[in-house]
Amino acid sequence: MLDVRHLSINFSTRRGTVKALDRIDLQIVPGEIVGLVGESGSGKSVLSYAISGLLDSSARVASGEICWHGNVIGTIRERRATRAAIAQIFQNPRASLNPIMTIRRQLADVAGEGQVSALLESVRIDPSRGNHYPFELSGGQCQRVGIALALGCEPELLIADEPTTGLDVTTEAAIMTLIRDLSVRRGMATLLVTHNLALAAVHCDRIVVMHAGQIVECAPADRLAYAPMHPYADQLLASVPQHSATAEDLRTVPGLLPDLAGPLPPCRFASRCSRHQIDCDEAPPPLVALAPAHFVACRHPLC
Amino acid sequence: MQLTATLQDGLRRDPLTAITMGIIGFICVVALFGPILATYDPLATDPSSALKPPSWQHLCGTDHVGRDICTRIIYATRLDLFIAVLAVALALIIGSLIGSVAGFFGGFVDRIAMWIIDTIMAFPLFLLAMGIVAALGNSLENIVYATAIVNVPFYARTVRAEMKQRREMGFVEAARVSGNGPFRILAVHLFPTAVPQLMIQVTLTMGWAMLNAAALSFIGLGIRPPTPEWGIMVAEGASFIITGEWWVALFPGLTLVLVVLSLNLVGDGLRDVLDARERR
Amino acid sequence: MLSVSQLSKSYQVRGWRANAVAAVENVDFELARGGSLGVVGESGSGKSTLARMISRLVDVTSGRIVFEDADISAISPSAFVHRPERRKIQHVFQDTGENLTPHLTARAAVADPIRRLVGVTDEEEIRAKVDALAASVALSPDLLSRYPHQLSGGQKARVGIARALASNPDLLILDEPTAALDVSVQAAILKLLHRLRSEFGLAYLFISHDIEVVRLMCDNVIIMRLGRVVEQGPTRQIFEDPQSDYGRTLLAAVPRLKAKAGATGDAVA
Repeated sequence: MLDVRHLSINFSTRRGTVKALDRIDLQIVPGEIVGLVGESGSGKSVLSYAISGLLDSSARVASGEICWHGNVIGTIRERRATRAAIAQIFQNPRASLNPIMTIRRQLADVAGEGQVSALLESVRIDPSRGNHYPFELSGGQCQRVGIALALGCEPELLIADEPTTGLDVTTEAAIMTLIRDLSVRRGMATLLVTHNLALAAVHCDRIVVMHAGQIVECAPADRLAYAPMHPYADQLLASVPQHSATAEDLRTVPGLLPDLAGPLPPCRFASRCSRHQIDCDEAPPPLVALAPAHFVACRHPLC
Repeated sequence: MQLTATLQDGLRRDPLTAITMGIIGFICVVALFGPILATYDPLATDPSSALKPPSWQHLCGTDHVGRDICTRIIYATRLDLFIAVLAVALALIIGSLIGSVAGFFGGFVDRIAMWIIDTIMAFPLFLLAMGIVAALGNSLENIVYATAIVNVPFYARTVRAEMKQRREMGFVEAARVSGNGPFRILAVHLFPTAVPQLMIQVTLTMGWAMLNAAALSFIGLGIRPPTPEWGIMVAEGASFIITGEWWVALFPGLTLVLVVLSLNLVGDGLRDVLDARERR
Repeated sequence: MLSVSQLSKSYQVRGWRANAVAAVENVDFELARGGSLGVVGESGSGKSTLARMISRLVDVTSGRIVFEDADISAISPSAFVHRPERRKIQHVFQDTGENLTPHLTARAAVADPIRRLVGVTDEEEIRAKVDALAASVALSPDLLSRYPHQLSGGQKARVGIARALASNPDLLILDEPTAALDVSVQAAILKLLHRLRSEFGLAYLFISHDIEVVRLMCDNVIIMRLGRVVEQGPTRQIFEDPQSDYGRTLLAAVPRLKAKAGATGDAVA
């Protein structure tokens, strides 16, 4: 359904060319929930925006393409008919709603007046609240409205960009359950973009880990949570508080993210990697399957 | 400092603002070094060369008593710039004080301060100037005071808005925890954040201050002939336009327009650069 | 060292009748010297208000705060600035990026409490102290001349911690110090805070919405909901066997790494 092939995207900025994405390969089939996990600067938001076609005009596709049902689609802001089948929900739920319009009106804009009640019910908001304004709703309710807006387009792919960051953990659990239910019932695929590895591990079928614009590992969720093979994914897992018994046990990822505008080694994790060897600098590590459906981009993975 | 870095960056991308800043710079140089550049005595009359059109000897021609207009414009630049800068500086200090205290402390203090500010804003400049002149006398000093008072509300409101917006922010509380009393917080931590907006206000209102000074002397308040001043020169030259001696009024008028326009453009340009940064 | 009894804070809502909204209601707890207490709650639980009351940034409506045998609850925030207790109770703020004065360098930010609370006037001495503090928070000295907007989230967090340590406090109140940080940066900051606590003999009052962070950092924990304490006790005990319904709900809602949604998860040992 969605096929991102060897996509590389650069941004031209004052400091130079920022190589935000490097040869990304990603496929999503209908009905699956994919988690895109990475820290800030990993390129996960850039990738999600590229798929939605929301990238800024300063973005340049250096190579590769995105295919939707076999047709190539553009990544920069432009009109394309296929955009209707991909919907997105954003991080700050209040910021993505129009503060001066009732939610009924905003939903009607997207899906038509007749659908409003049905949509509100599907996200478990009492339809009588339709006449309220966003400021009268809690953060969690605003996010539900955001989801309803996205669903109003009857999408085949829902991109959820940090949908629960900033929400309470109980609200987060409710929202994620809602997204899963809707995915299953509508046969909709979901791309969950998050920095919260635990969240992705629980709610996604498959997890893709990104670092500095490169995909480093791609595996089924429980496999990644149990036994990651890429050094970065392993260290990321070890730095999650849940994973440690005490504060001393917490591990951190050494070093800093490389400057994406400067010269970059083929494997962008090289300078922070304890398993780095000479052959890592020769060519970018290919994404190979080391186990069924488990892909790793590393020449010296943990096995 | 981060402010100058942003400015340099912004100016590089906006040549119009850079050019107009250059013009302002040039005018300041003229004001400072005027007497050295001027070749004639601005007050020396020479009836034999009265009302001569522009020529190589007199670049802007001469006025009705034979004084070189170019020289007079240069001297007038000094005077008008002096008045405007002094008035704006005075207004800036008083306005910032009132605005900071009102914005930071709020409550009763804020209400009183805003009452004063609103009252001042209700007065048109000419009425205020005439009132001051009637009460205290027709002098340059009083014109400066009148212009200053009229400009106080702009700065007070700007500073008040900035203080109100930021007084609940984390760094203010952090400053409290670090042992700063309210006045120190205001002076060291809060007030400097209002400087970018103030800079914009200053450049925008400076042009008005100049126009006000020229207008007041045009109607005969404050500065009187034979002192060279743009307003006076335009007033004197107005009657000669009909008889065809256009240069007497035109050149001073043009200079005034150029300076005010440049100031306004600089103000706009600064606002574009600095506001964009704040809205990031 | 710190004893809080029946602490409450209510806000007057303007209206015809005196409407009071209780942000914090009747909170009791004790914190020993060098101990660590976590306060967990969701938004609206009152945990931030509680933290700010103890830091004396906000007035107390009723109740007592006894710090080192002195009742400080009656002292107003503006008066507290000049009290000797100010330098003993310091506050690390939520890392929203606005807790450092934008036009002051990191060095100036850390030097501020040294000047104000410790009373040092000699520039050389101040410089030396700032350098020493930067070293203890593992902040590279060349970062000290930078402005907040030139620093990363983790670096700003370190500056905030260095600033809080400048007056050599006994009690540190940390209000969501790592909430906005990436998980690996958060891990580094948490390790740092853990090390500093034993190195400087500090007591921590650690406010967080993330119960897993509190589990790592604190010996005891209180769970707050809508301004009241719902449960309190040793961390391990609460995690293994939460007594309150809300405590159970909270623990169950946290996504557990090694279990699928729907299964009850235990803390990973």
